[in-house]
Amino acid sequence: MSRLTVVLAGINAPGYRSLALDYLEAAALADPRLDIAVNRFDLDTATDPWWIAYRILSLEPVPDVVALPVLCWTAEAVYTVARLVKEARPKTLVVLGGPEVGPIAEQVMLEQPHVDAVVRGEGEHAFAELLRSHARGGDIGGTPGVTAREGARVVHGPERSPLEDLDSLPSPFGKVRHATDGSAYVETYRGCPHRCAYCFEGKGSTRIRSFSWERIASDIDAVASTPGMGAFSFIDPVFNLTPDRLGRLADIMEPHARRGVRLHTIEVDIERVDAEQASQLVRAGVVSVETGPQSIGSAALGECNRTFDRDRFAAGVQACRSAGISVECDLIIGLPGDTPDDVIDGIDFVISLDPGRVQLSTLHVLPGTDLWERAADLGLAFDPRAPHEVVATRELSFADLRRLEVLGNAAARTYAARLRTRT
Amino acid sequence: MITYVKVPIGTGGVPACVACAMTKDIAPLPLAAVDDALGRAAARVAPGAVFNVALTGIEAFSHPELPRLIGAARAHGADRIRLSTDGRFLAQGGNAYGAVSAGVTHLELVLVGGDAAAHDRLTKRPGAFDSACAGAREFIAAARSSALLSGRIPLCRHAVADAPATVALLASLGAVAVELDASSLNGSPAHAGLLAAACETATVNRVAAWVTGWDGELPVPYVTPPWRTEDGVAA
Repeated sequence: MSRLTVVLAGINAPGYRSLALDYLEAAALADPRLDIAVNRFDLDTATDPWWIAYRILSLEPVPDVVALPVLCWTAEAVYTVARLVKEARPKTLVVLGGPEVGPIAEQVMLEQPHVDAVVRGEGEHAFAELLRSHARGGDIGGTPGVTAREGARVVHGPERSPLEDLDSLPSPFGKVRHATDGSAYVETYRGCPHRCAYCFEGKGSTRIRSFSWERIASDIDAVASTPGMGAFSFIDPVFNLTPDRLGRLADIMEPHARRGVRLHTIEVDIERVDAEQASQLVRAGVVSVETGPQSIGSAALGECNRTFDRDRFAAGVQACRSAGISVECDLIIGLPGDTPDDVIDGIDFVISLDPGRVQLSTLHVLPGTDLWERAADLGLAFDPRAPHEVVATRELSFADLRRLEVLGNAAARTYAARLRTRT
Repeated sequence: MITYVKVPIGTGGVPACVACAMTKDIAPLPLAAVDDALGRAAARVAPGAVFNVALTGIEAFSHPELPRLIGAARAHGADRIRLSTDGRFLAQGGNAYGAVSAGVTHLELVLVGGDAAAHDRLTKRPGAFDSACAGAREFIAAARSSALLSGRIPLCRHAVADAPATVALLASLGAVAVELDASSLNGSPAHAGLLAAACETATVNRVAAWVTGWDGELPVPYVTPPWRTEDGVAA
């Protein structure tokens, strides 16, 4: 087997680094059956794709494999990079993965002829196995968890079950110098207890798979102990999954919090936050949390499999605010079932709570989500091109959506302009 | 939405079409009277609620005690402070930066026309438009994300034809929202189309717009402001 040169290229929000590529890289480098040299790029969305392609194609030697994670808002840039790389170097294997492409792998392969393979679902083992096959000169088609080409055909390898033992994955956290400005993330579990119709976090299941507490503590310590660490975050969709879990996370973080390390934009189930949970969050060093309600309209909540208790939501926000924790309340414009009044009522509601921050976004109908599957039944029209922004719903016309976006932006800007948060 | 409480600080100086509106002499209210009104307004705020105040009724930068008025509002716990201005004085003497530093979080720029020819002609204030634009730009530069600019267009039969252009101009200056004050239009259906055009101009420029003082039908739904303003207490 010859040594493979592999490029892992992430296109991220400015200042961020791809945690997914961190895991892929760590898993591939730890695989004793692989002999690879890895070039890792973390570029941002402001970088012209032609210059991203330049970074790849100017390497010596020419990479054997180029792998790029794809999110809905990076898809167009990634496809451009893939096209340029493949045209310039036809022998380079171009591999994509991530939530934008995994659920619709065959469609991506048909629409993007320059892509050689799509990794579906969790990528660590699938990608490593793909590399082993490629290094042996073998066919990557048939690799579990991979959709690839065999001649003119697109073939799907068998489904790969989600990893049972997450601890078997090499930790990426001790191997890189983590950003200290808030852009580093830690993962303590995979999955989500909720099944929100617009979200792919749970991948269609409410099953939670957690790293062991030893591993969690080790990963957190590795990040939090980075010299100069100011703040970081967690990608876990519900930080306060259980009171016990929250308490244990607070136990691990407390020594770091005492040194001044802070956690920001931690996602929580706000309706479960009371004074005790708020105190645990404080103990963990949390300065800001992020939560819904996404909508307060009963029809939209029903369509999206969400519950909402106005009083408990308000109480949770109050508990956080009383503990000195800022709450970012998120609202989505364009959920099926929401009327213009529902959206405006939602804005009114979150602003009335004075949470700290109000964030509005327009619905993106993401591949693999419940809304993606039921869009036609729901009367949900969306842009087939990524990032799949909603175009119209039964209740909101295209014009309604634009007007509500503008109104919501103005309301959020007005809310944010205040003396108490001026530094 | 955010609710501002109006606290008058005087009368006069607010730009309007001089052919349609009586020009009022500028009459600032005494600091002590405004301070008292601020205190009474603040006392009405429910426990735990936020006190947001709009200092109204007068060209704000013509009040000789403006910095102290802003200070009084802050002393009474105001978290958001809105002023209304025609912008002429913003670019003078560091007023824009001074306003932000003093605690202004929201500046409402009142314009009657979308260019110098319209605005200066209607208000009979030569040079006012250019000064307003320069002042607004200074304010935006000073504010960054800690304060915002909005617009208000007092419409009359002379100014309404220029409403879309005025909205576009305010958008170019960085306004996040525009109020179209149609109370002087008397609900004339002839103007509904222009109001709608102005509102749509706002939307395509990503500026929120709403119409006040209009009783008739509008072909587009623009009635929701991103904030509310309540009558407060008189000084």
